[in-house]
Amino acid sequence: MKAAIIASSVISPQQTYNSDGFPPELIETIADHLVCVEPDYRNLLNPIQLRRMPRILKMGLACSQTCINRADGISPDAIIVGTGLGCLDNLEKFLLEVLISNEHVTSVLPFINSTHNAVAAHVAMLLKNHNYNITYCHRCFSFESALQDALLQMEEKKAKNILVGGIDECTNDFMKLHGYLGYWKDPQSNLKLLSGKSSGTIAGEGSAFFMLSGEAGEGENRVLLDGVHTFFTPQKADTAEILEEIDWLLQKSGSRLDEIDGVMLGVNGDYRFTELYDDLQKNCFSDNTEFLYYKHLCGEYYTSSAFALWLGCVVLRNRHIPDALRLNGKSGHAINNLLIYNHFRNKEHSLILLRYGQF
Amino acid sequence: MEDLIKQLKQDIIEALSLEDVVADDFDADTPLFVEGLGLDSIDALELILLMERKYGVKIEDPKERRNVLRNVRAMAECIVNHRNTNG
Repeated sequence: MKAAIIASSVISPQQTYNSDGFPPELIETIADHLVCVEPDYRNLLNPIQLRRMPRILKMGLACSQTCINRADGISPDAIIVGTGLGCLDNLEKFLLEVLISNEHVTSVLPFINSTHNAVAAHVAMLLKNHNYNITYCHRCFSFESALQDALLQMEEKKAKNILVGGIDECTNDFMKLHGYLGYWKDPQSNLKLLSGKSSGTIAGEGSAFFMLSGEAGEGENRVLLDGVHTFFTPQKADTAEILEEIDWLLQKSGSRLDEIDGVMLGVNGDYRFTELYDDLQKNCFSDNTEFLYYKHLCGEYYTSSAFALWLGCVVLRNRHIPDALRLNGKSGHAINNLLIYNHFRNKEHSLILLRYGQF
Repeated sequence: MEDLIKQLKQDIIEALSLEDVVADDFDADTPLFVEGLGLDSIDALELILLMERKYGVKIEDPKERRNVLRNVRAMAECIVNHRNTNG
């Protein structure tokens, strides 16, 4: 099953909200984490509701609303969201209050807005949409699970147009706790993420929404989502094993490895986890394959592949690869078949296959 | 009493994240709910919590809650009465 991506919207640490193209200038941040550039929500959301919303909810609602507007106001038959950690900031507030109040009275709002499914639920309430509504919280598989569910819903003819989102936020406590585990680099420039050999990466956050359609206008080239595949802790974790998984996905979508002319890798600057990416880049694809990367723009977070999908759509649709995305020096052709490969600390591996063409 | 009213107004703005409201936008007799500040039942829960946590006033009776939360002056009077009663 495939789906056309007919609209998208993203809020990220770059200036990506106002237009659906690659930002003309990149934001350089010297830090151990990247923070989203957020729009002025007062122009987008009801001020009375706005004051109660945590930041992640505002990001999700603004982003989903823009995506729907770009899809000419289509009312989705399903709303599916992936989030690794949900409304983390409010969850932390709520748990802290429980602790401080010795498990007595706590504030209402952090509790109401602390659940993982708050974003998908609020999107539905805003749209007065009573259709299928679900949130996947599977760490680094969260967004991929949402995409897989969307494709299955279409395959079973349960939905024609589906709003799919991936969203996560970065909080101080999250940074601190994962810092103890050696997840982060010392503050450095995000645009030099891959320079030098050091452990850790730069954290990030973002919200990305897509309108997928099981039908699309004939005779019109579109970005097509042609398949999604996930696999957990591969035994050998070598390129042969990864290639087997790639082959499985390609066979399922009726294509071959030599047709892939672009690969977007989730390389994140942590030397402990770059070997697979390096081997794939050097040994597994044809010489003309363009290799791209994206985490220097959005940072590492559980649903960063949603940002990668958005970038993939931009690259395919615009028929142009911005220099800032290139991992290798190729400069020729526009990409038609793009494979996004990401893994999180060698545990959750995911593949997303995109095509540019007719439905 | 006037100092308490001033403080309460600030507390309400902070507790309810009324970003576009300043203390001078409403007076002590402005209705808090529906008209006036336009607060709702979720805000009422936050105000009950504010009264309990910051001022030590626990209001159990729903009818009394409705009466106390009608405006800032009523809230201030309730706090003063509570202080007088409990020393």
